[in-house]
Amino acid sequence: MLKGLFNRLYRLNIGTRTAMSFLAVVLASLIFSLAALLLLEYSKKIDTKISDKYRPVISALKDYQTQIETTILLSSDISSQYNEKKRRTLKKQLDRTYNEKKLTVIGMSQEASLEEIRKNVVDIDKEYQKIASKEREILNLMLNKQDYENPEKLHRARQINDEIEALFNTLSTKLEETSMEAIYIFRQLETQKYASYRTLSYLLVIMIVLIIAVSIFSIYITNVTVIKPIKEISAILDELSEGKIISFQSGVYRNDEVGTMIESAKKVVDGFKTKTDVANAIGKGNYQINIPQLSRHDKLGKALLEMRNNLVKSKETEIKNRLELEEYTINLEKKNKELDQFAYIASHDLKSPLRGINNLTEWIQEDLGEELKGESLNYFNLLKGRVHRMEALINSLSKYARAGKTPIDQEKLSSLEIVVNVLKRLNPGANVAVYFDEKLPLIDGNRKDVEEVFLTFISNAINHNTSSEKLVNITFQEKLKIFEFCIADNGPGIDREFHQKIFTIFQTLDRRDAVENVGAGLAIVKKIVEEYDGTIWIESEKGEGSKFYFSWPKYQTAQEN
Amino acid sequence: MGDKIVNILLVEDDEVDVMNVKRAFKKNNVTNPLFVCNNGLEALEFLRGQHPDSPSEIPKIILLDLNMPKMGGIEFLREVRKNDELKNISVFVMTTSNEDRDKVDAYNLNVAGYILKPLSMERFIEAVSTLNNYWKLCEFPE
Repeated sequence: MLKGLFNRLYRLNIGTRTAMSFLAVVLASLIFSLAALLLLEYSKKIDTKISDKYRPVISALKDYQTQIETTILLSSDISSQYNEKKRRTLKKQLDRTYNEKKLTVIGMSQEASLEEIRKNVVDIDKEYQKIASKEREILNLMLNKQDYENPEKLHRARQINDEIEALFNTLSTKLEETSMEAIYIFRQLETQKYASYRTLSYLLVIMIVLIIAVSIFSIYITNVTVIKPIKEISAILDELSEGKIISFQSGVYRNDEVGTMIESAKKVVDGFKTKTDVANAIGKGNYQINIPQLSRHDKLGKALLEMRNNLVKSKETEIKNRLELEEYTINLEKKNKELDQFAYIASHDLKSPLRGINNLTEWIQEDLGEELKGESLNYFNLLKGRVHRMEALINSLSKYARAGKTPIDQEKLSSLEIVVNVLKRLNPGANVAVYFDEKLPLIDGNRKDVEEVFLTFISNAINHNTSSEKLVNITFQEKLKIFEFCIADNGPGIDREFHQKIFTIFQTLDRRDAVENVGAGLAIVKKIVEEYDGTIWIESEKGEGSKFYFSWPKYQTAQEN
Repeated sequence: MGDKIVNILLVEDDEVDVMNVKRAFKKNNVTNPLFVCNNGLEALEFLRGQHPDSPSEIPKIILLDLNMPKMGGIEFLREVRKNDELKNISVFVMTTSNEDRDKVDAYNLNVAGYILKPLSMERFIEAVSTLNNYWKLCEFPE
């Protein structure tokens, strides 16, 4: 039942609840005040009654009693006739005041509660009248001195006097009773007054207890229905402010403002959660996900939607670009293959007629024998020289076209070993001194490529060297992922303006008809080095020797393992 | 031994090269009969006896160029190795091609040698001399 009340209270909104508890307190106070007022009024009435009516009645009663008692004291004394006259005068006076006092008492006790007293007074009065008539009888009997000497009359008088005395006794008792009655009524009223005061104090206690109870109850209700949820919401919003998203625990369905607030907060958190899930999904590449819009003002939703659309667009662009790049790469590979094919065709198809020319020239020379002489013989030799140069050019061209194209089956290579082998192959003359760092490192690469690079550099350093004592120095420097090799010579050096040109194919600084040098070596080396993502450059001044540098990838396979 | 002189077939499209071989043969006094076909197809016809010049004796040695019209050397070799009657002919490739691919293909088809045509006549004569000595030394099945 209490639970039902609680649930009913939960469903009310806070305003109503506050108004209700306020109303309850006000109502209770009002009732209390009214009750207190009524009680006070009641006791006041009693008080008034006591002071206005009962006290006068009692005092009037007392007066009346005193009157009667005085009267009794002034009762006829048969034995003393001397004072009779004086007594009679007094008696008349007393009779007068008696009536006054009697009427006062009766007049005052007109009220229902004093009915008893009034009746008693009436009864007493009757007795009193009886006594008075008896006294008058005595007076009428004993009119003079002789009467007192008349034993018959005296006896009669004494008889009456005895009757008077008996009546007096009854009267006295009656008076006493009435007085007691009056006091009893008075006491009763007093008791009523005190009872009302007690009721008042009980009411006060009940009131205080009630107010405290209502207050505690409303504090409890407020705590349960307002403060707790607010704390919970604050905690959740705090978490949210730190980026954490936790779902709501409050399961109680509530209709009040806090309920509305919880619903709103829930919407916020759920919104965030949904948005986060959506953002996560988008982040993971799920662009198909539905992005719920909370309203047409949902900026975050719109932003996510836009973000997704942009991502989809950029993804499309990316795919398009990739496809284009793939196509481009395929085209490039095709072109490269065509170039290879060209090199192959060049080396075969150009060389075969050249060999034909060469053969025919030789046969002519052979067949003419001694007849060929003078200028013609010289021309023939020049012709053969040009044919050989042509062959060398074609060979270089095909070599250049295929440089670095060796399938990159990279292996661990000792650059030291390669340099030593190259030097053995070159077999430099006595006037050549080649120095090399004996710690020349391990590198990654294809043996033929590395050999070609060192062979070209070292043979260039020797062949183009015009010094009488030719010096070649091979060193290296270790960098993060590469080695930097340097082949230095004490040759004639190369002017700055040719530093770029020397790496271009068929560029030589010598005469063009020197057969040995077609000007492809450095171009081929550059191509090879660049195929390995390296760079190649020269530091040289005319007359100060040359330093050729190139970078080459370190041997990494071992480190990766 | 050496009594029987084997026929030699030269498959070569370049006229000067043919002359070159003939000249080199003469210089080295190679007396073996030399037949010439200008491409693979013609050579196959020749070997199968469908050629007007086909000899009664199938050549035991073929000197083969690789780059030829209609049917190249490698293709021709493949056909030869498929044929039961022809598959054991000694084939020497004589070509200008220095391609690894060609060398690998040729040796996969069991050639007896792969010779690069040198530019100078002199060295070619030397090469032919060596070849002559080599096949003079070899015994061929009847």
